[in-house]
Amino acid sequence: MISSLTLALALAFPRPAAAAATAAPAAAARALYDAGNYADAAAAYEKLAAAAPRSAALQYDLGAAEFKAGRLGRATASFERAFALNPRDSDIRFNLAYTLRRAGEDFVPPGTPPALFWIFTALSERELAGLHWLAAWTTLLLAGAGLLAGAQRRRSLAPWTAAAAGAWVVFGLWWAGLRAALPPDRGVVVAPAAELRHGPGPNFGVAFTVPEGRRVRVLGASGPWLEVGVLKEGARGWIQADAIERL
Amino acid sequence: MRALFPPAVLCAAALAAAAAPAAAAVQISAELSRPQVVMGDQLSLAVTVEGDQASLPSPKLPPLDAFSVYDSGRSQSLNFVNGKVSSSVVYTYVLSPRQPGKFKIPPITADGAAAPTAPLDVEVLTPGSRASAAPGPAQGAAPPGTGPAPGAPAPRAARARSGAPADVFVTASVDRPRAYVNQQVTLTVRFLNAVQLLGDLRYDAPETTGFLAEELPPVRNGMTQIDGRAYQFSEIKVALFPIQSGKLTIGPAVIHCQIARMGADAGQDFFDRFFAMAAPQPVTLNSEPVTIQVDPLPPGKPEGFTGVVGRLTAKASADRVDVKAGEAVTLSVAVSGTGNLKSLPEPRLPDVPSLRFFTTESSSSIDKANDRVGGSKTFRTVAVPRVSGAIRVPPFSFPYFDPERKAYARAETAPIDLRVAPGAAGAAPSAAAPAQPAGLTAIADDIRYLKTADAAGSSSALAAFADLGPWHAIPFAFLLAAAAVAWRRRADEADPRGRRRREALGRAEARLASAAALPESEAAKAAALAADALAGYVADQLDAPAAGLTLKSALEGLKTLRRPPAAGTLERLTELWREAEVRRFAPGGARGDAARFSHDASSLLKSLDQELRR
Repeated sequence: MISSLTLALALAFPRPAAAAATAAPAAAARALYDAGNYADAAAAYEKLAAAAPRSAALQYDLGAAEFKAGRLGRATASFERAFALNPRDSDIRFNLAYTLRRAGEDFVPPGTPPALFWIFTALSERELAGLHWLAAWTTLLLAGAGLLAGAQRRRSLAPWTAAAAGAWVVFGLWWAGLRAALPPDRGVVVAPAAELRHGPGPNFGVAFTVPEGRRVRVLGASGPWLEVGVLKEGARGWIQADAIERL
Repeated sequence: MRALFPPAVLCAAALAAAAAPAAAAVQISAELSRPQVVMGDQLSLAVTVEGDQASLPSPKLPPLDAFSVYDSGRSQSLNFVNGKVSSSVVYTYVLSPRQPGKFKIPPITADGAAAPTAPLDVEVLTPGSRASAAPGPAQGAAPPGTGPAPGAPAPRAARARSGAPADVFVTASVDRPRAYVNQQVTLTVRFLNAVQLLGDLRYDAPETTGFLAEELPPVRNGMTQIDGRAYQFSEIKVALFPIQSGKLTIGPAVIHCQIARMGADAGQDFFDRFFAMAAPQPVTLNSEPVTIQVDPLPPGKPEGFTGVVGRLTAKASADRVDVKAGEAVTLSVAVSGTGNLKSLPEPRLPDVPSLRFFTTESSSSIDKANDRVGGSKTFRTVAVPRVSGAIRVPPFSFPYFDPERKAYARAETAPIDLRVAPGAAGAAPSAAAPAQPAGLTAIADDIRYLKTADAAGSSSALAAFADLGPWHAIPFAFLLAAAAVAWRRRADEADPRGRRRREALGRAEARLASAAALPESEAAKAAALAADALAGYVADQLDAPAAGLTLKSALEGLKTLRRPPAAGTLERLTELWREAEVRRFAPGGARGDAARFSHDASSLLKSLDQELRR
């Protein structure tokens, strides 16, 4: 069991990736940003982020450049990706909350205590999945060992097995709850005052407009049109696919 | 009301006014143009101060927090009756509501007034609702049924239909029959006379309820020909700004004058005729009312629109652009053009956290050239930079409606760039700061800067563990295997005879393998092991002790099993059993054949085991 805990702690710490390959382009992108050339900086960061899609830092930098270039929707989308990768980073949380506020949306859902929201979102979905599987492995291996061991050894393993099983249940429910709260089929409106229509096409009337930067959930598709639900107001409508950046 | 007087009469009036007692009673009254107004519209408050003196005090307006109040001018009238002066001044204010709700305008007073005005109620409606379509009776106006004072001359038609001579009349006309709310309509009142006037002349300006009035001096006098007859005329122009939509009526303009009467009883005598002509005849002349269709402004009002109709330009300037932090800069925003600029509210100060703004003051310069009301209004505010660096004052914007183009437009200033040098310590706007420990001063908010480390990215190993995919089946397989083993163990513990039978072949083969591995020098021992293997296997199958088991009892026992072996198998067992005994007790015969014997015995036991397990 001690070895299992050691393994879990070791896995919980991020491991550095190869940085040398992207150091020079990242420095060039940063120089563009510092010079106020935000559009070019965003293009440079976009290439870097495409090459390292699991880098929260690059998604964060891309979001900052997009925001400075005046593209609120794309900035929000990048900060959302960065948040999904590294939700405990205070800078990422700050910038995502800032852009959401500019789009008229709250980062912390209304009525939710901020501390509780912080705890709920402290682990990324992949980290929760990892913890869920780690607890599953521990539970199953301990249970198997208990079956093979003698009666006395089995009794000593029982509380550890129960604890691991409890952790399995907790992390599983937490993972499922996070997926329900932040479903993967989300998008961000990247067109200013995007029009949502009653149906998939220009023949249908405009139901309402959505400000740039708002998060939506993609419910369906029909050709170049997407059916989306606006997360904050819960309204539904059809929008052209190029007005949405999928997360 | 307004008086039309020849210069000599005016001078006399001034002298008489100067001699009037200053302590005469002053009356004050107030009237709203309508009791309801919609947010974004305006209404007018007319305060009339009357008294038997030429110089009347100004009204003291109480604070009206629910409205933005703009002075829209004043009009004064003087009356001279038997050498006594009476005058009245109407002060007009434009009220622009700031918030919806029901409000009460407190009593208004003036120095020397006998009593303040009665409070007035006004309701401000939200833009979604509509104020009463009809203007309704103005609050504070005379109640219905109140007519001219007893004995006053009845109004007469413009062309003296009720006996006034046709050679004296008054007309009223407007330059446009249709206008937008707040668009200027020029009213022209013209008094024409072809005969000599006697005595004083009094002019009562027409009622202009629903309009803001701005006089367009001077009074124009001249001669004109009508139907071949020469007339002397006096002309007054007034700029009217409708403050509500609908059909609005300008009341009749009234002229009270005296003309020389040529009576029918004058006779032929010269003196009779002379005195008959000299006898003054009072005459009251009315113009026809004028109706104007006032259209509401079209939809699509831009943000910040305050109701200005006309055409505007705007210009912003600073008294200096190089300044130190904490020093004051005076920003001036001048708006000029046509329209009722008096009602133009002060612009919204820009949201520049690095600047601290102080109170805005305004001054107006009204221009009435070519009878068009316009001019300029200048707003001045003091700005104090909080921090050093380049600070841009964003453009000031003034939306308006252009009635000529029938569209909304926007007068916008250019931005002002300030170059702010660091100020001396303590030069920041600390004069008004409390004597408490200073906190943070928020200047501007923004997103946070780029990540300075880990630009190449990182990945949580814990998250990567979630991506193992099919490898996650390993613990499940392990558990299943462990469960199977445990079940088997439990089954063995529950059935020791069955376990002995299941393990019989393994034990026998182990003995045979041990026998085969012994060197030829230990052939007797190998033969004993082989014999024990055969006997042990049969004893395990029969659940009998191996010691003392004979070939005969072994064969009989095997035949009694539920699935007895085949006869051939039993024959082979018999042969090998006997060979084992020979080899065991005649070591010379066993030499060199131990391996073959073990192989044969193993083969036999496997066959036997399969037959028993069928």
